[in-house]
Amino acid sequence: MKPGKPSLAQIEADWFRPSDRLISRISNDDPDTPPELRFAVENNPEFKMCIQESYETETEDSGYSPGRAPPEYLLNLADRRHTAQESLKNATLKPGAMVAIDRLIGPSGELSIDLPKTAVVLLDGIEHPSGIWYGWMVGAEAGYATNWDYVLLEEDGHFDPSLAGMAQLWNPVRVYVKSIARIVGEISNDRLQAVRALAAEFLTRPDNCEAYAGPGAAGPRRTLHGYKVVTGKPVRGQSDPRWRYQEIYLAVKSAVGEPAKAAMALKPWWEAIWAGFQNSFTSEEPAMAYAMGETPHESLREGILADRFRVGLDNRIDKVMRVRFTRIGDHRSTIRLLRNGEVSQTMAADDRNKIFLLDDSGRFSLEISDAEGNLLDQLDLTETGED
Amino acid sequence: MTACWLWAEKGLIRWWTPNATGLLNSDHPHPNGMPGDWAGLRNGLMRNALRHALQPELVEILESALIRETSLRLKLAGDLPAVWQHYPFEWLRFQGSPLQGRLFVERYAPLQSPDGCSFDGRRIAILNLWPDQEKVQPFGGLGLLPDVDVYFGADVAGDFMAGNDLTRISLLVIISHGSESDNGPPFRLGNGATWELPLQYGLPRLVLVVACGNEQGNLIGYGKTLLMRGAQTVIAPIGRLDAESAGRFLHDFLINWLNGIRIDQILLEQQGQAENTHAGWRFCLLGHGLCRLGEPCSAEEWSDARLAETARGHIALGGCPEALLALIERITLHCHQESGTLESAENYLRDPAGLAIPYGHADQELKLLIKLDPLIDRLPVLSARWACPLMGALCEAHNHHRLARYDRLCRERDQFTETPAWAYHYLSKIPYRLGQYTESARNLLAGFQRLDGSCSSAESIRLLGQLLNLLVDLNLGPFGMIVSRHLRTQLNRYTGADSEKLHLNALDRDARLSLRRGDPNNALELFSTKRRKVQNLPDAYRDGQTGTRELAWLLYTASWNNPRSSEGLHYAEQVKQALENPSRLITNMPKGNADPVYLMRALALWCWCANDRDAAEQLVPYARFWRTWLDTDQDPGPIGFAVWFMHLYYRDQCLPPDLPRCEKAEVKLYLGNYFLELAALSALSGHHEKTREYLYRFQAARYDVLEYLEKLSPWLGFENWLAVTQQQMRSESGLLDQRSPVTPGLLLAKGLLPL
Repeated sequence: MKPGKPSLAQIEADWFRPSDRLISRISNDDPDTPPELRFAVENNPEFKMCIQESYETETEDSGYSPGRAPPEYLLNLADRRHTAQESLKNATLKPGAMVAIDRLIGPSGELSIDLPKTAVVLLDGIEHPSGIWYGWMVGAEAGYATNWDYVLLEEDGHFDPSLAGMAQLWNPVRVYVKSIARIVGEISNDRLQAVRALAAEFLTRPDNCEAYAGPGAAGPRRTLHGYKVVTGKPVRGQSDPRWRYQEIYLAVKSAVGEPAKAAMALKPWWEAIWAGFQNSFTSEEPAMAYAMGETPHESLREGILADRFRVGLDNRIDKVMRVRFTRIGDHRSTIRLLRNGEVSQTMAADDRNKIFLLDDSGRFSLEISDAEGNLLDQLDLTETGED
Repeated sequence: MTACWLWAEKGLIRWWTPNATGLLNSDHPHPNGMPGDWAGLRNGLMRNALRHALQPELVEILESALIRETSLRLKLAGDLPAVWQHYPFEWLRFQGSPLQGRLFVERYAPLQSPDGCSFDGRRIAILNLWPDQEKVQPFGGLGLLPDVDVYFGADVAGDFMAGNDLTRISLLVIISHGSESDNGPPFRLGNGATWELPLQYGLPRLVLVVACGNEQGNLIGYGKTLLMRGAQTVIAPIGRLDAESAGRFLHDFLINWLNGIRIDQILLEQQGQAENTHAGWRFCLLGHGLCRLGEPCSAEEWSDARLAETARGHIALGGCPEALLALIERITLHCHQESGTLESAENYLRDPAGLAIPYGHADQELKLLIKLDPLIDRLPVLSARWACPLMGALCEAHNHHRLARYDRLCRERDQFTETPAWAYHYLSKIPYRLGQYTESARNLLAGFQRLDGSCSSAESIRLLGQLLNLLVDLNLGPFGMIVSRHLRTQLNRYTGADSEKLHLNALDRDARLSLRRGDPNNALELFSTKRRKVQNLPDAYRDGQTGTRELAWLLYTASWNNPRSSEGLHYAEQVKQALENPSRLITNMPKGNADPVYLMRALALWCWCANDRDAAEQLVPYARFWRTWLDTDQDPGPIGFAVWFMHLYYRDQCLPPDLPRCEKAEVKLYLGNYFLELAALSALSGHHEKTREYLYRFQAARYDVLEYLEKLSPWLGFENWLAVTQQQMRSESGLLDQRSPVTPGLLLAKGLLPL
């Protein structure tokens, strides 16, 4: 990829024009088209023209007309793209995968943000079991690489080169799983480690390479961990075209991250039930914030129930709530979990620990009894959630 | 409940009961190989009789068992094709009634015994996928049962499977609608989606599927998958269930399970209830059927290891005869399942994982004999087929009182085929010890026929050894030489663990063969060599041998050979030492082929030949014991000879008061068919008429045996049977059928001394 190609104007136009899909929806008078998008397009003369062109295109005869033979580099790109597609047939979502985002879909459906072209994200890890991944934006335009862009080489893995040219480590992003349309590439574990090493440097090392600043061809270098990577040179200042390039992609990242933001804002269904527990805790213990190797969602929330049981929330998947009970002392009290009034799970007098599993399909309550079977306490766990 | 097994064997189907076994002629259960209208059968539209729906041979086996017993267990091994596994055996009718409740079928039954049929953890997990919105809710209230947790919904069910140690669950129940599809997941959720158990986390040992299946048995196929993925037992229905009935079935099932009732008994009882046609009747058990919560209640439920340990405990201390019986029956079954024969049965029994009784270990063998003897009549036919010859052989070695009983039992069992090759060695040994050479030879011939050309096996070496014993007793030394050469060749090729012992036995036989051939010096050398080797054996390989038997033979041979030789004196001193404490020896006298009686025989001969007064005085205290011995069923040979030698010593003197009369010894030896020995002893006593009579009887008996020995020619290359035998007769008659006096030296030179 040559420096400065494609032009900034072209890149900007590609990202900030209405998408073909939006034009088509407006021209077809799709009632589900978000009104603010329709308004924005119809009030922009240039975009309005696009709608006109769309009408005309649809009525034209779209017969095949052979043109000149495509240039060599295009054929090469097509070959690599085809190879990548073949290799990725059985690929799954995992760190190192590059995913394409065509539409922005949140937990409640498609957002009213138009994405005019496919955005690509290199995944680093999953942040939340409900489907929020984190990673870095990927640009196709390796000619705009800075010293904090990891330039993707053919030997790094399988990927569609028309979509992925460099990982923008200065541009981290969260992706909501429903927005992911397909997997368009993956890099090896070793290369992912190299990417992470470079990203770590970006976060921890001051940018003091001004002497080499300025656009120009990418070149190899080594990270502090010794990984060999190819990057560009540091950005020289606001006059550097890559300054504007980064502004464009920061705006794209902002849009791509919206669904994840929406998902994170949602309270999971089990929060209401947990609140039911919390209301009954005789004391609430601070959760262990982060255990080694755990991602934030795995942190425990704990409390003491009836002075007899330590209760902890230990969810692993979003659809099931796992509540762990640990007996405090030698008493032989029992706990019964009732679902829709019927006994579902029991922590018997001999159990030291017990995990109750709940889902969002019923009304749950707890009964705590002493060793003789006398009811000590009764908790309606679903009441708070339904209010 | 008797078990009838069916398993695949060499492209055919083997049927097996404890009393008989055989191969079916067809690989299809139906006589015409036709699939039936099994859905109609289950729905009551058809009424197929057992007699018309199964192979005739199978009908006979099942009907005869059903006439004898109230219920029968049919175990279909996992290697049987699906047509057998899905066959509706329990829906057929017998004597006008359905077999449900009487015939309990275990499908995909594993051939190996369970590691343990009992379950320690009581916890039951129910995955209830029955939709909340169904009008019929028959599965309520299960969570009120002790140790039962009910997990509602597929998400919770999946998370439960992923997050728990499933081996600590005694029973996993899945309640759901069935997809009733042959392909794809077997369960259907309330939203119409299909579902299946996540199997990557393993499974509890027992899984109960309460869902509708199709009439082709899709849930039986699914159950097989669950077995392959870790379940030990799966209960799954064939065809559709009625939800209300299934709810009652499940409730009763859980209560019975929690009360420790065995799973086959729970199902059998429910299948005997007419109201259970759309629930209990339709459930099939796959895998092990003997599991229960808590401790196993019978020997058949024990693991191999526990069963063997308990049986060993019974051998040592008593207390659990059922374990010994069950171990033998289980070995019988395992042998048939493993190879279709009983060839390995004795090895399994003696193996450290079995009773841990090494070959020839007198103490242990005697204990087995004592403990198994009272149980032998309770053994089923197939087990008795190998246990009786083994017990007979143990009697031959350790307790002659019971020898006649096992001789009779073995002859009764002999009407059946499939006696293992190794047992023929024992079947020959038992009548041999009783002097019934014809029967002994007949069984030897059968043994060689069973070997079918295989050589250098322990079996063929033992058979050859036994044949050599017979030929020595029958004074057929020339043939004995041929057998001895065969035996030596095979021994040199043989590399089994018992090779050393077999080599030692061969030395003993060769020594006696030398005596028959009139070569006492060679015999002395061989006995001496054997004694040295036995004494040099590490304790672990001695099996209680100390060289005493060899010492007895050395003195016996030396006495005949040269009673004034220094080696004779040397051996005599040692024997006197060994016999110097009569009360202790008599108290601890073994009941079988005991070493001390051979010492007595040898010293009595020495006493007479060397005119050794000290020896006579040392033997007198044993006289009363000899009388007692001769009054029992013990082998009369050694003591009978000893009494006779003492009478020869005291010929012109006053007899010790307790010494049995010579006529008593003579009668006992006569009843024991010691004809050649009686002829020799009579000749030494100068009783010419008796000598001639006994020689005639011996030669006549030998003729009867020749019929069988001749047939051994293809294996052994015997030639000129008649000529060789006639030559032996001439030699015997030349010495014994004369009026001229016979001396020990003459008997020794002609090889006609009592052996």
